[in-house]
Amino acid sequence: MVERDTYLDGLFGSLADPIRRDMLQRLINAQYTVSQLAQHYAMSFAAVAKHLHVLEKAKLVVKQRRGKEQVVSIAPAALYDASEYLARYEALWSQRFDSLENVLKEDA
Amino acid sequence: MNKAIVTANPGESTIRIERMFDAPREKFFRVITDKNLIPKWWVGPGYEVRVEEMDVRDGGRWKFIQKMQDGKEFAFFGSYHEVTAPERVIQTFEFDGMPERGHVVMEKMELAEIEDGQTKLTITQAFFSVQDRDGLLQTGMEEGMQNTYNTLDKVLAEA
Repeated sequence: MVERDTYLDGLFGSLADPIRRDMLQRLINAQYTVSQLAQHYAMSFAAVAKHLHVLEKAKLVVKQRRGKEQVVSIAPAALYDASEYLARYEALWSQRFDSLENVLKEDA
Repeated sequence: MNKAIVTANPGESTIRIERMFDAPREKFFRVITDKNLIPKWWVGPGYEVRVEEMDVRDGGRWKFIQKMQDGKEFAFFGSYHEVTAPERVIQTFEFDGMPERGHVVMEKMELAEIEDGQTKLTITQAFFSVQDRDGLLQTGMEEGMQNTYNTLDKVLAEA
C-alpha cells in the first residue's frame, strides 16, 4: 500500500491530497459506485463526492450514471500520463542506442 | 531498426531496458566501456556529454558531465561494483541535480550473446523507492509535460 502511494505521489506530483491519491489508487484496479467508494473512507458521502468532483474536474476520473447509481472509473488520460513518462524515457534510450549502433558500425 | 523496450511496472521500484544490437558481444562490451566513445552515444535532447572519469574495473569510479544548451552543467556519477567482461557490469548511479544526496540507483548491465553475432543488452535499474524511480522518469521531461501538470495544479487549486 505504501509503495502504491509513493507511486502515485510521483505520478501525480501535483495532486497533494492523500485521500484523492488513495481514490485514484483504488480506481486503477476497479470501477466503483460513489457509495461503494464512500464506504472506504471515514467521512461523509458529501465529502467523498466533493473529492471525486475535484478528480473529475482534473479529468483524472469519469462518472457514468448506471440506474440510480453513479459509477466512477479512472480516466484514460490519467493512465496515459503514466505510459507517457515511460514512452519519453524509452525515447531517450532509443536515441542513445541508435547513436551507439552508429558508433558500433564505424568501429570496425 | 532494433527497438528499445523499457519496462517499469506500477508500484515496483525497478526499470528494465532491453535492446538487441547487431554486434558481437566482445566488440559491444569494448565500445560501451570506451570513455572516448561515450560522448558519441550517451546523449540526450539538448545536451552534450563529456567524460570526466571512467575507470572501468571493480571499485573504479565514473563521472559524466552533462552540458545544457544554456551552459549549465550537471553530473552523473558512481562507482563500478563489478566489471566482468564481456558479460556484466554492476554500478551505482547518482545525479547531482537532485535537491539532496542519497538518491542512488544500482544498475546492472547484462550482455547476452545471440547467434549471428548479435548481442542482447539488458539494463536493470534498482531504486530505493518507487518515488525515486518515478522521480527519475519525470526528470528531463519536456516543457509540455510540465505544462500539463501546471494546468492540473491550477484546476485543483480552483476546485
